[in-house]
Amino acid sequence: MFNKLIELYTKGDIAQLSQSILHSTSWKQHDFTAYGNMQIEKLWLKSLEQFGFLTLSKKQVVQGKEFSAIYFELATDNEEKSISLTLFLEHNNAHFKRLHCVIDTTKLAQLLALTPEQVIAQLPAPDPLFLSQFDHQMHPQSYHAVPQDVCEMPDGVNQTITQWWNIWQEKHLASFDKIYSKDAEINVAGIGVNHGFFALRKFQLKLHNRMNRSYCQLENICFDSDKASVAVQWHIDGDYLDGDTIKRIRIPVISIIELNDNMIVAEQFQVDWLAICKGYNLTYPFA
Amino acid sequence: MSFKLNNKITKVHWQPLTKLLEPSGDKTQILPGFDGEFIDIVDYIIRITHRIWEQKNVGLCYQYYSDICPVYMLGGYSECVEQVVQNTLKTIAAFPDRSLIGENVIWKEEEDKTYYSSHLITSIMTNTGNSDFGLATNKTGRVTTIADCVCFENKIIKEWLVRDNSFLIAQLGLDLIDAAIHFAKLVPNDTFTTWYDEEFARVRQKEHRQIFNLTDENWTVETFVQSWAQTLFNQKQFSTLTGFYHVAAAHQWPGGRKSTGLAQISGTIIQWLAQCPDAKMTVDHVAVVGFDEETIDIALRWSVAGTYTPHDNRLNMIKGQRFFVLGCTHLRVRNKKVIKEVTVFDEISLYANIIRESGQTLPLLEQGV
Repeated sequence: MFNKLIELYTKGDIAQLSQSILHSTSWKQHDFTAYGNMQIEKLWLKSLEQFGFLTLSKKQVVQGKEFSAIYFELATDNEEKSISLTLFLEHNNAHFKRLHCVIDTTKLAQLLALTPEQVIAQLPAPDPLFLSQFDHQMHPQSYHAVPQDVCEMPDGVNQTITQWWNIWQEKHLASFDKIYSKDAEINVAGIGVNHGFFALRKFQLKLHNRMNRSYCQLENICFDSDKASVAVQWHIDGDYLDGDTIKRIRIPVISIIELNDNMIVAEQFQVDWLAICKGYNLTYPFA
Repeated sequence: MSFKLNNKITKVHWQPLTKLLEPSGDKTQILPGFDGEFIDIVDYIIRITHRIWEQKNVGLCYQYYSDICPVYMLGGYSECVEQVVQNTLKTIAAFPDRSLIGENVIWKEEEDKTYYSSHLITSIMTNTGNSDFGLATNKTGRVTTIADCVCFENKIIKEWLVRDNSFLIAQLGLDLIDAAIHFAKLVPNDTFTTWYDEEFARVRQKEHRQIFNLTDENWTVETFVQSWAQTLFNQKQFSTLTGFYHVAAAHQWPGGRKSTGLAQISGTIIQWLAQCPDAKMTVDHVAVVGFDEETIDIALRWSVAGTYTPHDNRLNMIKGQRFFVLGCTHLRVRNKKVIKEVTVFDEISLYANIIRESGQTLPLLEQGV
């Protein structure tokens, strides 16, 4: 299943992947949900036109029970430029039912030598979501999803992933020191690769301070016991401060976390920033 | 849970369309009076829908709908197969590439020997022709529909049809209130008006203060959905959401309302109910099938009635009018908690009915408030 996805982008093998697509398969990419062959194939063709036929340069698979995920990078022959994709998927080993494909569009802009505005113009119109206002506070007796609510994991892994989640949901910044190994390789879409958690912590603060009433919500988690890796599908809702205006937004995120002795040694924090800019008419936050 | 999975009846979720259209299994339901080719009621619904809509055999409505077939929609009432044919043709002309992707069929064998089916459909369609929404936009949109049908001897004899039109027009770039103003100019027939009046009066009689305690001991599908309606929608006790929804439940409501988890779901329901703060809900039909060994799918048809209190300044002039919704919901339930909900109703028709009944002439967006 994973190879079919990679071969779509490296060889343009649409025929092979199409065999795994149901009439009712949905493929969400750039915050636009495509249904059925006609819409999904159009997304593939657009990606192939944009990426070209690149070479696989990095791959990480998280094989879970109900859900699986894959992160991969495709690079030019001289490896000067690359693009990264993360897919979180529901499948039964024969067919895909739902896929959420998150592309680092800031890297796409670099690959194509375009400005963020030029890439934004090329993206499909995101689904027009209606984000209802809600009480984001963690009241003493209110219930908010934690990792063990959505995925069974061994105790040690669960403790680490719960602390990781609390960094985002409850802003427990002191936990960075406890769960990241010193030289953890952390790749944040729009920021790039850093070793150690300092850049991630800075990014976390910047992001939360750019929003009022931010709230993090878990959607799904898959855990790969063989590779001690975890993929988390989640999102952040909040009032985004964009100049003089406040805009209610949702930021979908897929995080791929690799563990060693229950410490995080690698993390991919994948967000499609330019799709978010397009969907909510925002200025690019990291210019 | 008080339900046994019947593995023999067609399940749509993982089936490729080719297999659904050419079922190879044995006949698993007797289906008296139905064509022999259909192996069960799900197969019947999936294949006739494909033939009529995706293969564009509109005339097959004569074969699969009874001559007199009441179809209840919030936007109007049609009574006979001729109207079904005409409406189908009109929609296909405005959206010629409309696909009907069957997501699920939840069914029930009724005591009167009819079959009740609740068909959840996702459609992708390009608006290349003029329609009730206005001039062609040439944009492609996605829309969720639930068709609740009573089937008897190879024909649909009654239907309740709900469509998430507000999400569709958002994708087409149209304004919800403008669309409702246009829809309000369509004059419904007398039968619709009578049905609307009677349904409104019926739902308003609901005793909303009665407490419905749901416990492990009294938990059945029926008590669960009745308690869901009474506790959340009639009594507005939102902290009890935890008794009904998983903490990471996925929740889809009309107009692009997509929520995950209790805080967001609570926000969606509160914001929606606030426009009708005296809302009363009745659950009018319940069907349940197994999804897998641990999970069941429940189909609800429900109604909400109350008094309209606008959020939108453009609608302030019609405050106090009757607010009535015909809605359908599909719930996926595991360990007695909803893990996924899809609720569908037609928001354009909801506001159109209120505007029409008010007798007010409202300005379009471009005309200013």
